Amino acid sequence: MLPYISDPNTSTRELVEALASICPERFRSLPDSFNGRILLRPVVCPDRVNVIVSAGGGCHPLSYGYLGDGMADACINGNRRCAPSAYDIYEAALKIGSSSGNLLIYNNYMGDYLNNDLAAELLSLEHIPCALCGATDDCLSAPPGAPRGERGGQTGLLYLIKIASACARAGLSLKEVSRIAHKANERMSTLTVTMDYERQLVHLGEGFSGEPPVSTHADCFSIDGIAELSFDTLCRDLKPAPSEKIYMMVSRMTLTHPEDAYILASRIKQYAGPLHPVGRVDAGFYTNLYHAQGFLITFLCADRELEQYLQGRFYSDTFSF
Amino acid sequence: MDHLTCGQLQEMLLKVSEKIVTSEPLLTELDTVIGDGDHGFGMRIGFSAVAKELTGRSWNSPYDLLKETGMTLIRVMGGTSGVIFGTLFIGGLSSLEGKESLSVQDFADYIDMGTKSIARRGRTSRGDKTMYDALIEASESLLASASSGESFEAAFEKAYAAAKQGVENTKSMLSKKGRSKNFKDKTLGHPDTGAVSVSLIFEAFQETIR
Repeated sequence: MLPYISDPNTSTRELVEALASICPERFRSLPDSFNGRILLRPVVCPDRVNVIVSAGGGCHPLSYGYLGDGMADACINGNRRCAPSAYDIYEAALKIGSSSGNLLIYNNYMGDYLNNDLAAELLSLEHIPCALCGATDDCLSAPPGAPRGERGGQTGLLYLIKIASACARAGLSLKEVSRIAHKANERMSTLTVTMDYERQLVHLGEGFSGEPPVSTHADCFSIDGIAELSFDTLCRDLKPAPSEKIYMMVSRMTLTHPEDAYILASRIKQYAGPLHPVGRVDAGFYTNLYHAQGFLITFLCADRELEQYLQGRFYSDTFSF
Repeated sequence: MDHLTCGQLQEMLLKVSEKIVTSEPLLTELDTVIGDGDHGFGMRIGFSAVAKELTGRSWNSPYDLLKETGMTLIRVMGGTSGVIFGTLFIGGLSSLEGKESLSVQDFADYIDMGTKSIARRGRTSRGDKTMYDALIEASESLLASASSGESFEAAFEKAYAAAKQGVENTKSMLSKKGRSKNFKDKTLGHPDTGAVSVSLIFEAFQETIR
C-alpha cells in the first residue's frame, strides 16, 4: 500500500468529514454518531430496502466510492487496515430507519463477517429487519472444491451492490433483494493477476496480505496471454451456462497504467466473443488493495433475472460501472 | 440464594469490570507470548467504559442492564475481542425479556445462549484454543447446577472452577483461530488469553455472590 501522510488513528473519520464537506451533493456524514465513520447518500429513502456496504479502512475507493444513485445507500469503513465496526453499521441502519429493512454487504473476511453478523443481531434487538450477503468471489483464495463460503471477497462486491441496489429501487422485499444478491454471488468469480516485469512472469491468486501466488506462468506475459489465461481460468471456475451472459470487470492495481486495463478488458471481450455471449465490460480503478502491477478480473454469469438489474450506469471519480 | 436482582447483577458486572481492568498487565503479558499483545488493552478499554456506564445508575430489568453492558463493549472495543465479548452479553438477551429477577436456570440459559452464539458467529468449537474452551465449561457447569436445583453461591463456585479447568485445558491445545494460530507449536504450554478473561469474569461473579 502507498504511504499516507494522514494520521491512521483518525483518518477514516477525517475522510468522512472531508467528503461531506467537499461534496455535499454526493455525501452526508453523521457528526453525532459515536465514531463519526458513517457516510450516507444526501437523501435517505426509508420506504424501501437500503443497501449498506462496509469494509476495512484505507481500501480506497472502497467503500465511499461505491456510494451513490444506483449503488449503496450507506457505507462504513473501519480504521485504516481494521475491519468495520458492528456498532457503526448498526448506527447507520438506525439512522436510515428503513421500514423495509437493510441488506448488509461486505467482503467475506473474518473481521468483516463478524462485525456484520453482530450488527444484524443488534438490529434484530431493535426489530429492524436485516439480511447479510458476504462476497465470496476470490476464486483462488480457497482450495479447488472447497465450499464457496471459504473464499474471500474481491471486486465482485461491486456487482452485489449494483444488483441489490437495483432490486431495492424496484421495490422488492428484503427477502427477494437478499435472494437475488446471493444468487449473483454464487455466479461470480474474481482472478488476481500480478505481474513480475523483470522475470516476465504472470502470477495468479496472490493475496493482498502477502499470501503467495497459487500458480506462476512464464509463457503468457502479454496482454493477449493474460486475456486468454484469465478467461479460461474464470470459465473453468464458473462453467457459464449457454443461457447466461458473461459480464466482466477489469480493475487495475495501483502500479498499472489505466490504458493497460482498458486494452486488457477489450482483449478479453474479443477473445470471449466467439466462445460465449458477453454482457457489459467495465474497466477502471476499483480498489487500491494491491500496491502492485496487475489486475483484478471479475466475471459475473448473468441470466435474464440478473441482467435486468445490471442495466444502470454509475460514474465515480475513478471508474464507471 | 435462588434469585438475582438487578442490583446484584449490577454489582457482579462492576466487579467484573474492576477485575478485568486490574488484570490488564497479566492479560497483556499472556497475549504477548502467543498473540499480538493487545487483548489486555482492549479488554481494559471495554470494561472501563462498562464501569463508567454502570456506576451510579439503576436499571428496571436484567435485560436492559445486560444489553447496556454488551452494547458498551461493542461500541468502544472494536476488533474480534469486542465482537466476541459483546456477543457473550448480547447473545442470550432474548431469553430475559420481561423478567425482573433471574433464577439460576434463567442465568444458565442466558449464558448458554451467549455461548452458542459465540460458537456460531466465531465458527469455533472445543479444542480450538479460544475463550470458548473456558466458556463452554462454565456454561455447562451452570446448566448442571440449574438442573440440580443448586443455589447461585454453589453454581458460581462450580462455574468458576470449571472455567479455570477450561483455561488449564487450553495449555495443551494448538491454536487454530486468530493471530495466535501463526505461532503454531509455540502456543503449547501457554493458556489462551481470552479463556483467562472468561475465568476472570466467573471469578468476579463468584466473589460477588458468596
